[in-house]
Amino acid sequence: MTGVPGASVPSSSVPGEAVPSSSVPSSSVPGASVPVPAAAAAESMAAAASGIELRDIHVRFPLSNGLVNSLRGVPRPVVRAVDGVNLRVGRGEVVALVGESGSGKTTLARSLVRLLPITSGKVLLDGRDVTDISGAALRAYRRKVQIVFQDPYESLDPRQTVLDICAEPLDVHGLARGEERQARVERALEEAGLSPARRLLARYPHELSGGQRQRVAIAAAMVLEPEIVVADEPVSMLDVSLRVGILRILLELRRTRNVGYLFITHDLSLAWLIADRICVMYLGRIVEEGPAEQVIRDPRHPYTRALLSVLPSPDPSRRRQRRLLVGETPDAARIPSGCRFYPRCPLQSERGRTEDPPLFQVGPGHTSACWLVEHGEQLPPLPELDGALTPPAPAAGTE
Amino acid sequence: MALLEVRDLRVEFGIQDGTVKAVDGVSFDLEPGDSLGLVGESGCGKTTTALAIMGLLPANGRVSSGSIKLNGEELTTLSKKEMRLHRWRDLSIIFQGAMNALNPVQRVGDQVREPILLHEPGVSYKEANRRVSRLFELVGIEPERKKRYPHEFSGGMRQRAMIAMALACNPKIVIGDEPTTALDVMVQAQILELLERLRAELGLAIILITHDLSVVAETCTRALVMYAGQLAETGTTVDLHDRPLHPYTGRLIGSVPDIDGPRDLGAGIPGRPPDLADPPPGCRFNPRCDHAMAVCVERYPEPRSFGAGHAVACHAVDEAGRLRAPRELPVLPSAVAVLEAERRAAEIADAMLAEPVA
Repeated sequence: MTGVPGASVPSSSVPGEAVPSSSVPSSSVPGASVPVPAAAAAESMAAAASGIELRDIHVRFPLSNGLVNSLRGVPRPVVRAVDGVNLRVGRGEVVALVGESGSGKTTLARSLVRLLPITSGKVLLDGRDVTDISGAALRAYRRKVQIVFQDPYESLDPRQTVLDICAEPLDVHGLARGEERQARVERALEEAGLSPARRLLARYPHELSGGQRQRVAIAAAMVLEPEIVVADEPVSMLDVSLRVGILRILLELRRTRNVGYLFITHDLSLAWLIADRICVMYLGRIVEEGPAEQVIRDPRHPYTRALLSVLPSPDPSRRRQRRLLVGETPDAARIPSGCRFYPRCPLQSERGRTEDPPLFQVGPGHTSACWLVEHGEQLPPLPELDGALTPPAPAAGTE
Repeated sequence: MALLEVRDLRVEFGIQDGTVKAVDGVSFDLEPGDSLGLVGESGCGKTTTALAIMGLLPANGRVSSGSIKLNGEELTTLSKKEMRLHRWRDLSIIFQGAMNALNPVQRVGDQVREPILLHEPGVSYKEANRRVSRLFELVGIEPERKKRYPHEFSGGMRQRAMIAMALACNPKIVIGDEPTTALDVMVQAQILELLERLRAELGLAIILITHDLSVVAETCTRALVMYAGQLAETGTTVDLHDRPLHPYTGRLIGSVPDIDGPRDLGAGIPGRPPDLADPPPGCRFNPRCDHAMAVCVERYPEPRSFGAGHAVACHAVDEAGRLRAPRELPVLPSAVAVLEAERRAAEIADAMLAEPVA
């Protein structure tokens, strides 16, 4: 019933259960997103210290401003690609980070493995602050946190053999030579489902199929026996029949080696298959996070709900009621004030127009950044948007 | 007579040492207002089929046999010049990533106008401009944006502009070759909805080429499943989903993630797609098929019909339209050996994975 734009946040529900509203959520300062106390409490429990943790991570890129604006003292515009993200990936856990292009998910992944500098925030590995490490400490970090890229056609050096590609991490870290080097590479390849590995060692990437290439990329990431692997859309370039094999290998390594994954994807249905937890990212911020079952079956953010509604269903007799959103994700250099989703939100709460919502607890380990669920309530149904195809000007039928 | 009739189409590509049979016996009909999906994995021949229909095969490719008839007129024997008369006006195509094919230094509206001026000489400049405005409205772009350049458009808007261009000369058939693959889910949904509306409003016939069974289930009434250039199964999307007969169709459906389904990865498909320069004999799916029999290696199974429009090319489907249980019938020794070896290799791999790591 609160779905009408302009409806105020219901104040009748029991206030204050684990809601972080005591620290005033600020709409103007981007850095002020509030870590969720409930989730934080859960994390500090028991053996939760192992794994990687991000606290209020920001990654910004300054844009060029032009001479005139610079002389006039106009501040340089800044792209806030990652804008205050809190995230944890424990050992043996699969966390899916889901977002559309422009959501900042890949920027986050790359800054996590230090391919991009973090502007502010903290990274903790097994409870230790690793934000500002360099030199030997950074090398040690990279042994523990590896990345697998999306495109197996571009991520492998075409002039190196499979053996050299997979052994390079060992060489860089000075970990193994000669026979042991080869033995470790073979084991990693076998684990990535390439057997017999011995026959592949002398091959070059162009001699391999796409699926085999991605397995080589996985082997190269796994040869250092990392604790955490950031997998950036690892199967989106592969045919459906090959995806299952790759995913199975990743999950198998979780079981046998207790590897934790940050699995980056644009595909919620893929996240549904493999993730323990799902984080939905929109314009640089996580807007909903929770156990996969909760996020998919009981989404509490209008964005998540809209995304789920447009997933094509493989069953033609069970087409979903599409709830299209207007337009596309805005530019990260111009993040809307108030709730960043407000301009595209089908529910548009009055408060969202001006105030940036923090993550509210809506269930065990389940949070959503929407004023409409401030006290854990259900979202009203999304209204059908007529003319969602044609945002401002309705398409009059022609011909 | 159907709007488009494709019969036993075969397309070959000449390569260094020999030929590749990229399409090997594909047939279908298309009527106005139809939406047909061509589904399969990379290399299955779905794009080649589209290129053959459009008369856009590369220099080393040729239609080796079969026919493509548009309103009864044979297209495969037309000269380049004659074929050009049909493109845009009868048939048009939207490619994957087409939005990146726009000329960056030309206004989008001018680019959409070009095929009109080129293919309909009687149309004045002014009239063409008016049509561009209407086309923009049709695909959901404000007509004022005609004067903008491609970089001022988002990815979804550029794809809409490409659709507008494909519709510029009022074609009867539009082929979409993975038209939404490079787009975000929300934009994909917007584009699919647009195509659906255009089909309903303009009576367009749409051929949608995609690897994504869900996209086909969502937008098409019928589909053709191809494997390595051959037809595996065809039928309504409901039939294919509810009653898949070909083992490949079943496996393919089992590999599609579904948020309404269980949280498991499914069986996948063992092995990998064949090398088309040296395809397996008989049914090309036989090395990956757990229903493979001696006859599967000997010859390709002629498609047989089971119910309205539902046809399958598989020896393992019996007369009643049931898929026989795996290896219920005598299997070719070599096929057994291959399957056995694969299973053993998988077991060994499993055992190695299960080994505790020191």
